[in-house]
Amino acid sequence: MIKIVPLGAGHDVGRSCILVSIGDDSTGIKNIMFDCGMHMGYNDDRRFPDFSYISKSKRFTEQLDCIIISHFHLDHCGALPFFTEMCGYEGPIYMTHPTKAICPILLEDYRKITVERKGETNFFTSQMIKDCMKKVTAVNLHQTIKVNGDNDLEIKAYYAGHVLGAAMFYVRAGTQSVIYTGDYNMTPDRHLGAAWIDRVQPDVLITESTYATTIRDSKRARERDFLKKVHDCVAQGGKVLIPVFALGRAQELCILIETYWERNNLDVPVYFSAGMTERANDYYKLFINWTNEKIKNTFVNRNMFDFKHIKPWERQFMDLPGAAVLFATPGMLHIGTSLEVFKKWAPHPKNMVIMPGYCVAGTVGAKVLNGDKEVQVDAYNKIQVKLQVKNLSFSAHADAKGIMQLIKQCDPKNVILVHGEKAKMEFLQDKIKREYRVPCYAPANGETITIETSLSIPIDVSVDLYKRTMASPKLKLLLNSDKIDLTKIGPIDEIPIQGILTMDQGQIPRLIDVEEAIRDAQLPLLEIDFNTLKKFDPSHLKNMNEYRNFQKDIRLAAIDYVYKSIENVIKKDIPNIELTKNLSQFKLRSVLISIPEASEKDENTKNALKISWNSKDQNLADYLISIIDDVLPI
Amino acid sequence: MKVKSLSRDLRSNCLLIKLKQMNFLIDCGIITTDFLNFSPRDNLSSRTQPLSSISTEIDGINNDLGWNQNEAKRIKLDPSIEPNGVNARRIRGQFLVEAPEFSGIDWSTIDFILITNYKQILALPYVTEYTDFRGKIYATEPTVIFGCQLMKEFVHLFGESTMSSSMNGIERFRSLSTRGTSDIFTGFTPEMNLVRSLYSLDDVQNCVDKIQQVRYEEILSLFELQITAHSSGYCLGGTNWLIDNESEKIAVISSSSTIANLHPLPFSKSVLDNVSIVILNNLHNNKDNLRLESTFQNIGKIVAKVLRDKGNVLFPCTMNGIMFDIIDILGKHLNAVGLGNIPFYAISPIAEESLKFSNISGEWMCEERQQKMYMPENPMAHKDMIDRNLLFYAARADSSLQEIYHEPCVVFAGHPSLRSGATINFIRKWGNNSKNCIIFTESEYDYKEAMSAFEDLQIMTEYIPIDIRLTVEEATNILQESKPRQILFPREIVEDINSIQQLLPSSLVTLYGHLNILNIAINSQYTRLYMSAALASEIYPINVGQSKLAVVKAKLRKSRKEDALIPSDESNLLKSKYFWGKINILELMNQLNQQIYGCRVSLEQDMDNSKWTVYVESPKIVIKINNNKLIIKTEDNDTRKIVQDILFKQLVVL
Repeated sequence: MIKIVPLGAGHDVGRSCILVSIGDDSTGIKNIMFDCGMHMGYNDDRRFPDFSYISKSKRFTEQLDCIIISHFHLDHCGALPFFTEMCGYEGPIYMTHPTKAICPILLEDYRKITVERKGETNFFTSQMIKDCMKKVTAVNLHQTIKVNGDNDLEIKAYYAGHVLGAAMFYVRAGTQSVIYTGDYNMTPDRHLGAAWIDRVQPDVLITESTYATTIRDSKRARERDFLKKVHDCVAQGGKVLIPVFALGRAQELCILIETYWERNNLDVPVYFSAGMTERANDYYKLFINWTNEKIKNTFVNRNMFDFKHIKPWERQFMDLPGAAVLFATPGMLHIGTSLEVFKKWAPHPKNMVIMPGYCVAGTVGAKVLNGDKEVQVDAYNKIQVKLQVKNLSFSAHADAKGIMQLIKQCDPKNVILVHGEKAKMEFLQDKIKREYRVPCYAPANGETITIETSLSIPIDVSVDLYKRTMASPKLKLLLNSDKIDLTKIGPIDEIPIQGILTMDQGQIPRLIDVEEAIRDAQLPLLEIDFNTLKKFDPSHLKNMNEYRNFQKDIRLAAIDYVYKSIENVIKKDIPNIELTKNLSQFKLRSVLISIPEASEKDENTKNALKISWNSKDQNLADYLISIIDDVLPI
Repeated sequence: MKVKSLSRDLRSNCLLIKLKQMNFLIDCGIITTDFLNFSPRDNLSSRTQPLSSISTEIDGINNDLGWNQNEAKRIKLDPSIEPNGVNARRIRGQFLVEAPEFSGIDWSTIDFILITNYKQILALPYVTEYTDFRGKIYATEPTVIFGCQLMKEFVHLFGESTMSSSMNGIERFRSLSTRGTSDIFTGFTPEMNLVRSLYSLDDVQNCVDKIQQVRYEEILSLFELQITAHSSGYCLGGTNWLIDNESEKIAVISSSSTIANLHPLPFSKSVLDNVSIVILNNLHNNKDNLRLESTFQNIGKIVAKVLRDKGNVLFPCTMNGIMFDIIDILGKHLNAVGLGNIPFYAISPIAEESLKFSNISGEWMCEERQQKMYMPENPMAHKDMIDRNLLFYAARADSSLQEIYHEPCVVFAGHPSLRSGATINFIRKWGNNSKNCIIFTESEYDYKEAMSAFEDLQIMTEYIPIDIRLTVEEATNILQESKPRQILFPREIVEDINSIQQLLPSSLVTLYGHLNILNIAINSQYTRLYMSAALASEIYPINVGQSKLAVVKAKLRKSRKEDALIPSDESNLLKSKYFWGKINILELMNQLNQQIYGCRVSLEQDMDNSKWTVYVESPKIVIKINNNKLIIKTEDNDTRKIVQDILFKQLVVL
């Protein structure tokens, strides 16, 4: 049985945190937390997942086997220091190398804004972020990690293509398995490759569904569209504000602008805000292996992240006249440079804001996207929004087509949708059920989904037995017809197998061949051959029409009669058994029914059949003898 | 399992292994020590000449190729460049190399190839481009990248001028793809081995494209085997391969290092967990190997002294591996002693690629360097030196260096054999000045022999070998803990097998040598499947001694993912019954007496006590007991039932 409870990201984008219980009696129950994110839309308790769900008494380390972080965005890792340093979770945490590198920077940024600008207390400190990161184990793609050295819990990361270092995680406990996608992108972009996963056929696929209903047009067209809008605006002398996350989309758009400016010899200044840009680009330079093949192959000659046209932003540029392009953080206009500049540039219709990503409900970005002409930017100020607002979906999430593609790729038995809006999820849910005929769920936060898995138990089969079994089946040819219908011959995928199961303390059960068991000194199996006589009353046979004029040995008549009777009965009880017969005997497995060796004159054997068998066919022998007793009374 | 070493060299390996009906190679090294028999090639001048103008010389080949006399039987020139047999021709500047003994192999039967590190890949293009090998090749990402670089450097330095035409390529293909016997392990002991001319740059690229890149601890399921790469600590991406056949684990420990504080991820001991068989390869027993710290100090002192005396230092080296550590440590040392602005030059066709790629391979480095990567700082100090204009790279020692070049300086240049590449330029430039110094840190080529090709050299020569590979002693120590069942050492390196055996009392120590076929018993009794819950619920095990037993009748369902046992739909009448236990004969006779009224029971015992026969008169019963075999004869079925009940009560019925 696998249980899934979203503590965040159920019917929602933000605060991703999904608990999964996996495993059975043979592996033990394993509890895993996928992501530990914060919510951008809240400033109170609701910003973090409700961890009391896991343990009221805060015994998190005992309750959880591990935490897996999919990527460095705060809505996926923002609550991690809180959980490890302030709630006391001390167990293992896994993330990829780039995530481990970049995540503390974003956490520090988030901490600064919350504590230093908003003046909140009781928040995690810089030291706590550092201490938290020390507990993280970095993983490589495809590396199979045995959690806590436990052979029964394995995790494996796959490339997700959403941001640098983003990964999907496959978790296996015994024969049960789950994939958690985090955020992913099925189409390669200017700096990252596309998500990819093996056909692992998990019991459950937990997928994001941000763009559950969107089918995006081609990437090329979107890029052209973006560049045209920027170019048109600056050509008119307008200023273009592009609110972005410092890491991720920003680099992709910078590569776009850089190449466009170079090709078209433009000299309109392009700026990048945020002091960390330089550092952000350094991460891309060191983690080239996590970008796409093209960048990797050319980086020796030209590192794509060394930008020539893009200069660092300084505050006084805000009031300079003339055209300019500014990439500013954060991406949802809720705080910081992007909001500050937005306030200045918003009242002028010549200017433009391009929202390349997703905006969480409640943020200024979301309101602007919504078309609000007057926006409350803080408790005291409202501003007039007169600039042109453009929305370009550059957000690196899979669209509906991409999600369907991933489901097809990994071939799950169940799908669970998280990280999306409820109404859109419902649409996608139907589509998945209809097209792939797999159950699909979209749980709300706190709602438990229980998935029954077919329990299966590991068993070690002796290679001898296995090989003999695999070699045994013969293709069935329909010989009774004149022609062999080749289309009816398919591969044999189910083969009968029989053996002795031995179970020893602390060992996986073993299935061995009987011959092996007999040879094994520990298992002295006995073989017993039975040999008995079945006496009968000859007059019973002679009364029958069939044998009325039977001149030969009456026992031949008995054999014939018993054979026919048995053949008749077993046709329905054991149809596949092989019956071999000649005049004086017939045989089913080791059960042999024949005429006794002694002569006709011997009183004992005159009116008797000999029945012999090996004790392994005891069931069959008992059954046959009861039939014979029935049809051939003494 | 069968193991055969196809290489006669201790540094360039090639093992052929047969296990569970599968054939595979571990490593594809090339023997290049014969380079020393050639005269140095000035790479610059040969590059500037168009190919057609290179004259062919009819060599008194024996003067030039000293080995030809000693090993004439073993080594034969590639037929494509020796058209006239006796009057062998060699194009000026052409170098010949020796691949492993591939001649007896039927390539279509090789299922896969595993590569250990970038140095062990050089013969791979011969396999992928010139045979009908269609299997898979696995190597870590850095092995592929740096292996590709090394092959390119190899072609640049030693190939180029012999670039074969397409005709030649086909010819070579034919010469290599002649089928051996279908069983690659029987009776082929080649009398000679081809010395091949080099492959082309296109071959290298095509070959590299065929390799599947893996990460450490990524589990590869290859048919019935599970294969994982573990860090060997030798270089970036250096691998020890673990082969798990589900019942026994086989570790191939090759070019490994347990020396601390080097740049690669350390040697992973997990490769030895519960391992049954260990195959050791690429060990050394250099006695003149000092502790690494003192070696580095020694180098630092010498270099500082030479530089202070206005001399220059040349390190002939491979553009990878320990060179990164030397640059790092030497750079810091010179900085500490006030020589921090002395420029370093790395000169090789692959210098730039090698320096830059190593810096983005942080995940494959030791903990300390990973931490730097997270900062984000350059995990490789040489990248900082490049950024601060203290280290320069160039493909060749030519005019491209002029602007940045000034003396005194430290130069790292290929090739370490001194037979091609920029080392030659610097030896010619600095050779007649005793203020300059050449430091050999690699022990692969005999440095005296390497130097003997140059006349009248005044340059100081230092030989400070740094061999970080495991010694026989170190390997023995490592294995004492894990106690594998059997350990294979390469014969050529072991001086005293008895002393090793004494140190490893719980393991069987075996030697393997070039072209010997070694048979190793592998316990592959069990294969892991799964049974469904439905089947499990049908099974009622019975306690028998220490274990529980049950007869299982099921169906084996084959599927892509894994085979599973599910309930059988056949009649239970066909389910076999088995009996366990010992017959108590006295009790048996007793029961017969009690249950069959008025019968006479007698016992007959055979001479050797193991056979008993119980006779019963009226009704007549014969019970023969012979070890685990019983034969029961009765003259009517009712008596049979009575006897059967008596017997079964004494036994456990499964």
